[in-house]
Amino acid sequence: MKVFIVFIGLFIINVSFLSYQGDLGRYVRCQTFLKAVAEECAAGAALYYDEAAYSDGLFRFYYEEGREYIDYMMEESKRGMPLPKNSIITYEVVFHDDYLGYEGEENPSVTVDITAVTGDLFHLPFLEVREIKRAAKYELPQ
Amino acid sequence: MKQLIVLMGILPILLVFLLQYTLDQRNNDNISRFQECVYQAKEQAKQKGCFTQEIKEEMTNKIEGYFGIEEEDMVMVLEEIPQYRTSTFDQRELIYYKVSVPIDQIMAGNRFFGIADEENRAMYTIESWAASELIRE
Repeated sequence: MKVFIVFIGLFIINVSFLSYQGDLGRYVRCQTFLKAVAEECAAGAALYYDEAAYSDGLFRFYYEEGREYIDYMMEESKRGMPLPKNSIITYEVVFHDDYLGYEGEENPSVTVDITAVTGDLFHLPFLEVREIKRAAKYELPQ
Repeated sequence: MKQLIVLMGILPILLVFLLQYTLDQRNNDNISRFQECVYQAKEQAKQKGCFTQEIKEEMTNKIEGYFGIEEEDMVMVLEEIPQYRTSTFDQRELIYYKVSVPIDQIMAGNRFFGIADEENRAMYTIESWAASELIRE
């Protein structure tokens, strides 16, 4: 009986650790994925700017074009994401330019914050992660 | 003697866990490196407007080294026609990429549990788009 109890103890510890390792691996992959999407969204949105305003010496992003690009990227990214399929992914984009002001920033920039609300990513009862946040900022030199 | 017999029974089960930790660690590391390779190639492709032969070869060589596989084992769909930067959003000028690599062993000791080698593998895929930064001359 003693041997059996020791075996069950070892078995539970091993299963718990294995579960933790697998979940942690997926969590890291999800973070990398969201970071890459955020970087791509920020870099892509920063490409669209008002050329007429630029010729007048002012820098102004095309906000709608940038948002359209981010919407498209978010939609496409959901197809192959490592996150659970029922995850809700939202984003927030902040533009800093000559029209909207810099709020302490020095250069025109686009910042994208992505929040993914998932189910609990860890199977173990004492660990709970239901949300992943990643942000990226693309700055243009003056 | 009784304890030795019990030990002989439980030892293979506990050894499977040990092998699984190692395998999981290896697979996780490989996938992280794979993500790195693809995202790095994507950044280069944005500058060039597409996945040029050099970018593709560099990425392929790195993945081959990390995974110990051949190019034939991978599935790659990469934009090879230069796309250009536009002043307004145009999805036709985006760079598409899809790269899949095989993960040959997901579960350690699969035969011990009656799982065939063919069922113990999967493809890991990264698929997305990127905006080209190449300016039309």
